[in-house]
Amino acid sequence: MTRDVAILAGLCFSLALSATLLAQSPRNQPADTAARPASEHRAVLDRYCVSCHNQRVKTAGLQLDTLDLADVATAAETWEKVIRKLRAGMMPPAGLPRPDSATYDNLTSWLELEIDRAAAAKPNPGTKAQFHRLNRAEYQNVIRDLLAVDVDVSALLPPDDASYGFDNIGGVLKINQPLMERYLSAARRISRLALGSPETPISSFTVRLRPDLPQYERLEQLPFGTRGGVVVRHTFPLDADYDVELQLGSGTAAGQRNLELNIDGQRVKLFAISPPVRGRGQAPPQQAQDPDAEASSGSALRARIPIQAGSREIAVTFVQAAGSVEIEGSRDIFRRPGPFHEGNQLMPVHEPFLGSVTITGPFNARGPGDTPSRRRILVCQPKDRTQESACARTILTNVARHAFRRPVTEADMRPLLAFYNENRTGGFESGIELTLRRLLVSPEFLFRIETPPPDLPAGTNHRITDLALASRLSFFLWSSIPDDELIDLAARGRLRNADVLEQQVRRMLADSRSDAFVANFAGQWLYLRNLAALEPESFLFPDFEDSLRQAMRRETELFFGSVLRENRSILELLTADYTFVNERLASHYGIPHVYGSRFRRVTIADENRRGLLGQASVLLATSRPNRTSPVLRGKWILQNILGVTPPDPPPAVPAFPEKSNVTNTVPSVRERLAQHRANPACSSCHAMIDPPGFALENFDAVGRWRDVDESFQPLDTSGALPDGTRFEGVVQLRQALLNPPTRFVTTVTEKLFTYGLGRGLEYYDAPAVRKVVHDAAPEGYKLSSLIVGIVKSLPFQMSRKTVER
Amino acid sequence: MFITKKALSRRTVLRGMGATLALPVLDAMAPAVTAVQRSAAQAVPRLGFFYVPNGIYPPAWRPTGEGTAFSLAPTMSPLEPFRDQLIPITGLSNWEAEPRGEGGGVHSRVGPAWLSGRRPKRTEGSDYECGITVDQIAAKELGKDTPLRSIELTVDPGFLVGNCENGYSCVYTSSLAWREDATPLPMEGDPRAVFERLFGDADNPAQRLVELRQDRSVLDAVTQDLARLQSTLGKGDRAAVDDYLEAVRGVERRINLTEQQNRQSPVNVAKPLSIPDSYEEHTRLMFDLLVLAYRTDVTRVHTFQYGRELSLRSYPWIGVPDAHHGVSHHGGNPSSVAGYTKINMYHVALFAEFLEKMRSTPDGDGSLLDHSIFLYGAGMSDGDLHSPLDLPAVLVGGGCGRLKGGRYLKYPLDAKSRMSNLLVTLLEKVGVPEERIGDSTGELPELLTGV
Repeated sequence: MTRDVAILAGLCFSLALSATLLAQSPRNQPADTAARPASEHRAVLDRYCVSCHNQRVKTAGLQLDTLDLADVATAAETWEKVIRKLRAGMMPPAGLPRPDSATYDNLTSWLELEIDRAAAAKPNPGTKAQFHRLNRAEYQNVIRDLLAVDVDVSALLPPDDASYGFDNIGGVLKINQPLMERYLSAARRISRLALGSPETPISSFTVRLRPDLPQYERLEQLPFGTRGGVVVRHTFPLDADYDVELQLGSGTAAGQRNLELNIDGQRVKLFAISPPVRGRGQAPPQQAQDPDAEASSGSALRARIPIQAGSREIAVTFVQAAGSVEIEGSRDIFRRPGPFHEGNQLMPVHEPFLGSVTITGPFNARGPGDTPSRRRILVCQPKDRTQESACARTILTNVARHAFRRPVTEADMRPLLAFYNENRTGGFESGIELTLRRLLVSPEFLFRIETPPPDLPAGTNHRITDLALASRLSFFLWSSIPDDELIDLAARGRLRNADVLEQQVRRMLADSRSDAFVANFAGQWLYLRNLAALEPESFLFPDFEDSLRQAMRRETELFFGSVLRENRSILELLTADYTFVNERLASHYGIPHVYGSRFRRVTIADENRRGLLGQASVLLATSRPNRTSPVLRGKWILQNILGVTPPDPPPAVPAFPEKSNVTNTVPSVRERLAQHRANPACSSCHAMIDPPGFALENFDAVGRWRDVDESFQPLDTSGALPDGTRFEGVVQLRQALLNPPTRFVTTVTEKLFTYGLGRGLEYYDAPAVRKVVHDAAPEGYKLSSLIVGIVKSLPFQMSRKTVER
Repeated sequence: MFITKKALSRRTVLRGMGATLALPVLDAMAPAVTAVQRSAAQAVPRLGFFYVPNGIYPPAWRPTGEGTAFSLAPTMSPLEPFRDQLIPITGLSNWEAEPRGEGGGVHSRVGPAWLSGRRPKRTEGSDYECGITVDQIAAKELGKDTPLRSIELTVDPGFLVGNCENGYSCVYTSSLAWREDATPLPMEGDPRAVFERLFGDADNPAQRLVELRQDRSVLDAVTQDLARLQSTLGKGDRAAVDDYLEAVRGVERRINLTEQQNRQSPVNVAKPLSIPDSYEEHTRLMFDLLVLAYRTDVTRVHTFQYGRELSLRSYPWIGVPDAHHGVSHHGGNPSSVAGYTKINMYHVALFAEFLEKMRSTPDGDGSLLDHSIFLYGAGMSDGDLHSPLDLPAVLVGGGCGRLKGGRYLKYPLDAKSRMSNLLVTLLEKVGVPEERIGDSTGELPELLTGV
């Protein structure tokens, strides 16, 4: 019922909005706005704005009295800043007179219209970095799609720097010597792994279980009757023996425990563990009883296991005694001590737990086996030496086409084949492997290079090639290389066709590779990536552990994914009456009747929980380890929902005054922030930043509902947005944020543009953003429509050739 | 953690990666590691920098007294055992990192300005720029004969989304070491990757030589790719290719030097496997790698970052459950001040452990510490003020006999007392004289003399 109301309201907004937005289109100028001459807008500016923003006072460096309204476009950069403030309702500041809302909106729309009209006549698509290095997430996906190898690239490459909130910004992704060394080493490992090189050295790989990962319940991928442990995918280079070594944390419970090692669902080893002798202090390590298990001192168990080459799922888990049942409330018994409780006896551990799994090998190699990567790469097999050259050419042409993301020419192949010929002394496959290695560090692989037509004069626009468009598309939606279908369409010059393009976008979103879009776009926009690094203070939040952390992230990813793939409106990101939970998360939220670790869609009865603002992931990501932070939450809402960047602090923020008398009462967060805002130097920003955060104070630092704050004082969740709209609590905040909805839609569109283009947005991109928002309005701002709009937009399809320095 | 395979079985090593790490590493390793042969007369200087984010609480840091008659305040007290090679310095400022009307972004400015004396350009775009840092100036000379000119290490887990300042790229809080005006060097946080940078990932020296040769032929081919690419580009677009070429040449140079010195490389040392769970273990492991790097003379210059500016790390195991950046904005609140000071002192205590390892490692006629100069400090003073003035700084090490410790240098807080003047003086001390760094106006005479 409430949902219907919300949707109706949303529809009304959209309808009202399409009308206003049409006004922004240069082609559909409503009579009302057109009728007003620039002189009327000048009068409004003079009356409400110029008293602060003039040549003399120059508030915020803005001199609106000197700008010529007969030629708005010339000062578009300045006017776009003005438009941003006006759209957010931030100016004139609270307390000063404002024009009526019709006049206010008219002025804003008129400015936009003037700029958009000029932009339509003289479009500026901007320039993306011509050399755009693959970032780490992209590299991982590219290797998967190119060579059919699953590697954990985070162990091979360093993280990338971010700008504008994303780590795929072309200009920032540069190369230097330390990185080059990492690429060389990564290329060596990957090419060996892909082909199963006999030269593969013995190496070790360790999975550590997070200290706060509970091991009391069954993992989703494992059979009933097991508890805890880990499931990890690992790619084995050769058919060979591998040592699997388990590190156990001690338990104190009586009786024998069994630990099972599974490979691809098959039990390959059972370890029996007897309890240690009880004693004071730290329990001595578990002893392995299995006669097969190599005798081991300390707390490690080890076995040498034959494993076939390729990607295998390794599972290590405890086997429950026959007939035992999982007991509700048994959690604490199996809970591992937090990482910071070493030597602290607050949380006794009764059951043994798994600490880490280390795989070392290969030993006694029997050959490369038959792996997906060998099938992908070795598309032919020479029967004798005379066939080798032709076969090498076939193989390398195929790999190079995907690695370079375009059809390859003889000029591309010549140096590759020459390299192969120089390095085939170790045999055919060794020659291929070395050439792969060389391909993986070549500039055309590591960088997406968009070269403007050489004869084009600098400063002019050009349509990017279909092949460049294919790469832009695939890195936007898949964080990876284009597939054959895209390359073929591009090579035939078909991709630029609007219908084909839209059809391809829909196909790509339906493909599972678009999970990367959810992980990388939503992961950064919504700060989901930060969750892994956050450690709520375990004394205050003893219930918090890693499976909850993972569930929080999973919820928001599934939720965002549903809006993406079910063609839903992005307004639902804030209002949806459904979400995805498993038992752990449901109990965190107080949602009954959800059992097991599997995620399922549930309808949310509690209006407070609806949408992103009620999701624990977002609430945790914007909290401190030991308390909520209205500042962080407020800032998050302003920047990521409303698209408002709080102004810079004044040049010298003075220190807080030393508190003269320290009282015993702990001030509430709100009181502390009130002190903050009482200081004029701080208040200019915090009066804007903090209030939206107050509305979320009913959610504690891990996102649980609460009615009193840390000091057991009643909460005050009231406040106002920069535009003056007052609210109390999260439900009203949500309504305020969506009135009008264009602010949120525009913010998401700007984020999508930044991520999709891999560059920061400039003032001259604003017309393109407005057009995408406008075009998505009739269908109610579906996420997929926004994406299609961006892909068809000027900055995505065109580029301006930079002036040579 | 790395231990000789000869002395200890591989399994012991792997097990050692678990919860507790005692590190008698250097002794156990001794037989397998041979430092480059040097006679006493040839002792080479090492120069290193240790950076803590979010400032240091001055009242608990500043020594009392002056000259040789000084006593250490609590935060610096773990350095008491090194008193005769210790020079605390106060009053120096980084004027280039002042807000100057650019308001927010102090964290982004202080890090890159710390070792460059230059003002980072406010931008999130590809035009980011600061200036070459002192470690990189030194590395050009000190690193001439070592496989790595320098190494850059961090124990920060990597940037958090939304935790970089508006208007500034995350680049600015990522790195302390800038090779050129627009080339910050990545700081490596994975001990395994550090180890492989130092010693490669091959099983044995012969295999390593094979890999180096293969790498070289790969790089030759890449150089040809770049030449072809360059011919198709306009002038303005060549910067990226130039970066690439420089990276390739740097690796080639490293390969050549490594080949020459390969016999001396400690390939018998087992590799660290991953990043330890605890910050403390992680830091110790990185420090051990650093000692190993100096000992084997793979490099003579380093920068080390305890965390990036704005670090939100909490330190509950030492009783500080709130975020580092949060407590640095202490507002005079006693519990925040206490937490802030604890974190400051904890970092110093870990530094002292590193110094002890350097001191107990023989090098020529003395110890590694005798032949080193380390600067420990921060890019701002009191985190609550977020000011780049009156910076905390302390020098430790013998500087090959060119640095006289056991004295406290106190400068007046004025425009003439510049951090960059200290940096220029350090270059002089390690025999790489340079007229200017950033806004420097000259050397610190007090530091130059007294040897």
